Amino acid sequence: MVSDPEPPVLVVQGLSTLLTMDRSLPPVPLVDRFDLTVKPGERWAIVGESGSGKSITARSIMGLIDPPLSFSADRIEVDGVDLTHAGRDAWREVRGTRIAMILQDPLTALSPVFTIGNQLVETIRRGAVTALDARIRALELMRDVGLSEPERRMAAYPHQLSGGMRQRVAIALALASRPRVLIADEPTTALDVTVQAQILRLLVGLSQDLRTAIIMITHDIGILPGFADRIAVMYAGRVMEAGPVSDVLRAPQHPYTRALLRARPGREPAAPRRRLPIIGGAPPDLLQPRRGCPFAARCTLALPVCSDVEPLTVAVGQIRVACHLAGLPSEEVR
Amino acid sequence: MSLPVMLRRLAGRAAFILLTLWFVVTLTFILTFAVPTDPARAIAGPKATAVQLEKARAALGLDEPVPVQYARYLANVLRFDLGRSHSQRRPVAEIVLERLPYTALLALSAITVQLVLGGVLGLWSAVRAGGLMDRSVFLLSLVAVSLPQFWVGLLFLYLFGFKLGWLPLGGAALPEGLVLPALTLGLAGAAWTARIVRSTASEALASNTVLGLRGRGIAPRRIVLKHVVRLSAGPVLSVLALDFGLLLGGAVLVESVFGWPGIGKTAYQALQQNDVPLLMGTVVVGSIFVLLINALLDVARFALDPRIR
Repeated sequence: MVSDPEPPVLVVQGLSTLLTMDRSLPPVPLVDRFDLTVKPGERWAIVGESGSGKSITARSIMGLIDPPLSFSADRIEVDGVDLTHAGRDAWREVRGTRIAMILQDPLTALSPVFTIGNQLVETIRRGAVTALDARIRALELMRDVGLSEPERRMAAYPHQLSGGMRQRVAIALALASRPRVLIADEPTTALDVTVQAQILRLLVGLSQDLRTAIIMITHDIGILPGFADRIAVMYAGRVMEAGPVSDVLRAPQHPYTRALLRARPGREPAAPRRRLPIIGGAPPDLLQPRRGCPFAARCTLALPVCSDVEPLTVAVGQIRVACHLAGLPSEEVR
Repeated sequence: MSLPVMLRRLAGRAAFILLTLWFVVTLTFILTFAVPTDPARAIAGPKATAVQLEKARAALGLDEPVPVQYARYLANVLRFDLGRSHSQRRPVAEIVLERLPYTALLALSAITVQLVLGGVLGLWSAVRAGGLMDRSVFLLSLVAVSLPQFWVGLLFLYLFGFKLGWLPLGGAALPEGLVLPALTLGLAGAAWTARIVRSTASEALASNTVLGLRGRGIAPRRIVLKHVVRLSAGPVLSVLALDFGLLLGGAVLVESVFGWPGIGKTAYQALQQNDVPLLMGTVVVGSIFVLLINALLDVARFALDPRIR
């Protein structure tokens, strides 16, 4: 691969998000030393079960963490702006302009009591923009995200639109100030399958045309191959494995990733009906103090060392993986 | 909102208002039989002879069968003839209409106190949840709801009227005479409103909508003053509509304490002087007022929330 001269648009190093329920108890890490480096136009997917900390990670990267949660990082840099020790105002300055977010349920994410136009113009007018310019830009944005009849839609309320149209409005809102990074938290989970594909195509197009980097949070591995360049697999607040999506899907290095891939419904139509393999056991109780690898208790390959010593993250080819077994010949591991 | 939808809603409301009015009017009619006073005796005076009493009774139509009395009463109410007050020797409708603007002004001022004071304190509590203001408002609202209104009124009179001499001790002087009655009447409502706004605004602040706004970098002040206020307005208006009858009930005491010449004070006087027609008149007109305000608030709620259109 040719070295990319472009600097990354997002650098996150050692991000931890803690839940403090009681001052007398030690804080619970919901996200544990998360690292991510994103280049312009890159499409990432953060994959994990519910409760794996992927949404909290997304909100932490946006600086949208409220008590009783708190977050800290060794380094957070968004589009060249260092936010490692930033206060609330510095974060707000960056949100919407350099980094933006779309949420899972576009109906609740939009305000039910204001028109689409009102909300678009409000967001656009964050910058010093006249009302007329904001309106023109709103119409332009609506066309960009593929909304037909934008003039008419301006006067509509969210409940008058279909789910797919609402998500397009939410994307238009997120793009209002041309952010370099877009975080999409399960943007298609609440939508029909056909609409899902349209929204994913729209996002891919935006990342190609505008060079917007996209970080998609999802639990649906099925949508990844056509969408993401890179993938990070989270489990119990930790990144288990990260790397190019083709490599990870073809030769997953972490036993958890392998189990996750096995547990997805078969794609081969000819395959006889078989019982879907499940991952035995349940995710660890985050309230318990942790030791070793968080997946050790459910891992079929676990060695005694796994529940005692936390594995380091090592590189295997393009993949970075946190497993004691990493790098062993896969025949032996399986 | 499209006009036909609006009109249909208004028509439905109007039918409901008429039905409720009929109920109120019928109830007041029945209650006159339950009151242990004889209107004929009240008019003829305590020294009247049996013949004079009989004459007064016939003049009032009280010697006729009850259904006939009821029918005539309904017909009279429809023509807004509410009978004659024997304590003031004037038509009841005239007295009540003269007093209504005072009560309307007082009620409007009290609602303003309720919404502004309760709204500001409730929003503040929600935004700074768990803070000193939040805890103070919680405690003070409990106190404000628990205090009897006539006592609050007397306390205000003593403090601001007598001790400090800032405001008049009573009467209908405008605007200074309105301040204390409006505060007294609006205080308990303000406490309730603060509680409701606190909870609806907290809910709104934790909503996806606000998360989305914050994610777009909208200024916190704008989020609270535009979006959270608008999202919380519906429930507040509903409660306001429900409580307006209570507010007007409170006006009877408050107007009497402050000598405010509205319908409430008139009702209290009518009660003291056994003036049943006047009392009935205040009840009927007060009910009409409550129903109209309710209809108005309903339309406002309807206009504020596009989802229920």
